[in-house]
Amino acid sequence: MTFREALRRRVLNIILVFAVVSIGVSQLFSWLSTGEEMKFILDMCSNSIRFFSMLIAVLLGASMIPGEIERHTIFTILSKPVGRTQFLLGKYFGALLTLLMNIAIMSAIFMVVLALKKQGHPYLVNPTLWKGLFLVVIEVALLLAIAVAVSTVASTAFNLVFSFFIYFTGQMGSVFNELSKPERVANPVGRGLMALVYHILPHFENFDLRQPLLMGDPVPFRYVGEVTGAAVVYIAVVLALGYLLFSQREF
Amino acid sequence: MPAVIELEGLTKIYKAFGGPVTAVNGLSLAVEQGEIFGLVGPNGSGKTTTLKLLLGLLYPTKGQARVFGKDPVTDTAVRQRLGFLPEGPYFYEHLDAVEVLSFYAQLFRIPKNEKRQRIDRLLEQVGMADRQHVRLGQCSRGMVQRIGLAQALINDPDLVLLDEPTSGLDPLGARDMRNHILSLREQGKTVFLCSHLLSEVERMCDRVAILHQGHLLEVLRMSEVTGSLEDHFVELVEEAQRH
Repeated sequence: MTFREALRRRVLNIILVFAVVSIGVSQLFSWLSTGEEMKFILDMCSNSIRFFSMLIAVLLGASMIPGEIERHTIFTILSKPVGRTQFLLGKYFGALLTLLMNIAIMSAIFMVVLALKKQGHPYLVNPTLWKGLFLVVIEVALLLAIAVAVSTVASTAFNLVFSFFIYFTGQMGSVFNELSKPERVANPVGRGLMALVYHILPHFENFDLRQPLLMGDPVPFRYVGEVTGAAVVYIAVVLALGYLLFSQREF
Repeated sequence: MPAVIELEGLTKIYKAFGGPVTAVNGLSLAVEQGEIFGLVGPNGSGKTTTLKLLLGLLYPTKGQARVFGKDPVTDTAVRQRLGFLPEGPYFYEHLDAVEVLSFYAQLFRIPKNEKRQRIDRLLEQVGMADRQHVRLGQCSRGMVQRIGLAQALINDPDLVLLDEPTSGLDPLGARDMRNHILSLREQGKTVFLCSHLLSEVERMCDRVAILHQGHLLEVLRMSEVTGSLEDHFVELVEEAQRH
């Protein structure tokens, strides 16, 4: 039901159109030199997929539970023999399916753009590119889990701001790690706070493989496995926390 | 035969900015199998709160509610035997009647071969068979209410909980809804309904409990009411307000 409902939401379809357009127009920059053109296409397309997927994840997740409450549809669902765990996980995986479909469409357009350029053909089978797309999926699955968990207790507006804040702050994991070192910050309380933030926040920067893709550097499967494993654990913890909050919620 | 619904000292206190609000205060009553039981009272008397406590949507502050002998908060399986029509029901507007009923049938894990038969039969019963493919967003209030009743009956429940079932309906729609509710008793089902429309309650219910500001004033059998229920109700409420 979540998947079907998401397909009909205009704002999500508009975002998808923008994503497809921004991926599609990247190939118009043929006036750049060949090497730069490919780098530009790879960077812009990867970035567009990542950015628009993030937008869709936050929009979907933030309105998940508040939307059901505002429409009063939650009363008729929770009055059925549906456990709250089942309800929450059902909403999450339905939204995830929507995200996967959107990422698949954007990736397909990306592949078409690469196929239209002769110098883009090697990238169609580039392992780093495919690992990068895979990590985009894992990244937005994590962000979606955070948004869904927060949606069990927060309004859509608060959740939107909060989720975006977590996402963008999570890009700065290395900064917080640096600031937790004594040579950077003398104050032990400040260092402790930075260390806490570093360890609590998800490290979204780890999912970004644009740099190795553009530089032609290989990315080991082990790295992808470690980042994915950490994300899966984080998702499980976040959804468990969301369930705890949701189980106490009255309607 | 054990009561279908048992409330013992049921209390619900909401925390609010201006101080705690007692929506239901020490409510004790029992609803027997096969009867149509009405919970009546003015707006804000605790009717919907009581209903939600029976469904496990709200958690009691004190006392307990039992449905078929089970706690509706901890035992989600008891909802297999319940049907619920909320006040002014809302469903996914992009779905049509068949899709809505199909969705709720899935929640009860009704087998596919049985599901379509039930949906067709229910749509026929509530008079929506010829409009089954109209999206709910384009349906009138009365049509949505009928579909709401159909979803409340999709699992062939033993107990049907209705919140203001005739509210907002025109006289013909209200009559149809009343007839549907009366037919549920003929099928051996138990009905627990909340309403502030006393004239409707009078025509449907076997017994009635009168609530005022969360307190139970009286439980009476309709056959024992002399005069109109409305007069009796007003008299009781005014007396309660004097005290």
